Amino acid sequence: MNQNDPFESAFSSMVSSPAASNGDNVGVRELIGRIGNSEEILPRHPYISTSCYSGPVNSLPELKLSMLDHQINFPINGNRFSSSPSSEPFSADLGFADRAAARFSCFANKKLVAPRAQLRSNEATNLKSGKNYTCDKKFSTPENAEFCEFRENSSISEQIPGREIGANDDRKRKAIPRGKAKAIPSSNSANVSSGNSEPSAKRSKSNDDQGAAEPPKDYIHVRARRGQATDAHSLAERIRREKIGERMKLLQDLVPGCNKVTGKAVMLDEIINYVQSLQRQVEFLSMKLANVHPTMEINMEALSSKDMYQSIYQNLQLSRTYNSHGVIPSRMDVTFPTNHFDDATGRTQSKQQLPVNNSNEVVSTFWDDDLHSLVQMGIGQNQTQIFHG
Amino acid sequence: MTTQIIPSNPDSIKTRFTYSFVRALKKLNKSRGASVSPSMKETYRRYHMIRVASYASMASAVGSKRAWSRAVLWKIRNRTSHRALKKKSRIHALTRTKVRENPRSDLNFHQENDLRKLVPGGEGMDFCRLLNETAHYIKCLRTQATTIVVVWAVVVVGVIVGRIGDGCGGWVEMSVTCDK
Repeated sequence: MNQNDPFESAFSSMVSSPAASNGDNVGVRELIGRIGNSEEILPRHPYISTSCYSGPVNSLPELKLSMLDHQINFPINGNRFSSSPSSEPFSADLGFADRAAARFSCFANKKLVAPRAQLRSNEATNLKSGKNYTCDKKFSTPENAEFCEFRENSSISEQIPGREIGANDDRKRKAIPRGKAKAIPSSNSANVSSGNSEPSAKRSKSNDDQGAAEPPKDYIHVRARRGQATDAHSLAERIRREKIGERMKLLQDLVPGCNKVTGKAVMLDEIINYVQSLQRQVEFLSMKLANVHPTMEINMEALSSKDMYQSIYQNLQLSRTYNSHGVIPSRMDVTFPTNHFDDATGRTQSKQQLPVNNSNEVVSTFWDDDLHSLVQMGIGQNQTQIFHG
Repeated sequence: MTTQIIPSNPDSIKTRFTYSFVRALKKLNKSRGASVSPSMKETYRRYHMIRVASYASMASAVGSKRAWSRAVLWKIRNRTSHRALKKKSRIHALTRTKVRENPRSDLNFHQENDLRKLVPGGEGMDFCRLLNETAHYIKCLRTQATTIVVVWAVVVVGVIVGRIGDGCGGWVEMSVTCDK
């Protein structure tokens, strides 16, 4: 039970120095008495009953660590901790066993340091807050244990004496003494209690520092940069400019070929061109659809809705991999000039004369160059083999 | 014939747009009675209706979340009265006051105006909001174009593209022609 030695030594010290007459002892007992009924704190009290720790004691008290793990009812009632007469039988705390185990595991690897045996009164008030305690691995003594518990109240004070700190705990330990000694508002403690030991220490520290300066949630806080006006108007303008810059960046990603372009004016031009070309594409496609020969619409009606949707989805999924920024080359001019329409109708109408059963020809003639490339892009297939059922 | 295929994202804008667009197309085709080669005027009207159908289905797929979709739907719903409004507004165009001018972007004022005209509903927005709407509008336009291409291919060519076997990585097209 090498690991348990420090604990047992601690306990033994506690046990063996029941009558250590410090003024603090009385204070401690007062504390214990005051908070006697707080369930979460209760299990701790036997451990903090002794206020001074006189160094590692070799002799082993009858207290065994394992006992703590199993027991729910902490055997405070006089047997082992006669030093704490004021400690009342504490009610069972189901979480106690876990906490105790955790706490003691903290101790296991640490060297024990002689702590100062003082409890400040403010910590007493913190004790009363009765929050959940997280195990603090930094403390290696039972007395530090109480500080461990109180850490979420940010009551880790500088009074904690310099202990010999394990190498891995150096930074952790140092964070704690830096914590403010005075009672911290409960919001900070709530913050701290939600975290792990180490980050919570740092958080508590930072929370302490900024505790009073917590920004209200409904304002957007902007920090004025060096050399810039802090006027309200110029600040607002700067925010807006940044927003607009952000949006322009997003648009840059959307519009193809805009990566090299810098400057708002050129970007806007590009965007406008792109939107226009996309709109023209849609118009061109709808024109194509309008020119569909009635006989070809058999495809549309023959397929049930579901089949059509399914086929479309299939194609869409496959075309997704070929997602091109522009479906049709932008040279397509689809402002619906009559000549263009005549071209299309002329072509299609001539095709309409063809017998339908020779669908291959019809199909191939339907495929203008543009549309061919278009469909290829949309469907993503260069070699088409059309089977006719 | 084809296995049931569920769209991977049944509630995406693309899916909704496809559904409503195909439905509209079918309706249009039903109303198209004569199989005689259509006159130019009729074809033009059909083209116009298909275009409106595509914009309307796109806007309804997007919903009312976006200002541009709301503007499109409003325009389509109030088409007849809107035409009258437009005529009146053209008369009064000269006397109308300029659109809200943004003193900050005087350099880009010309382009800003162009963009406002392009994006539906862009008249009454500030520049920052306009850029937001433009980004979403571009995305939707792109899906619209790619989807209509596929619809056209399915309708006209009767193409059903299925990937058969991943070994060759090629595609096999099967056309579905029904002899009805």
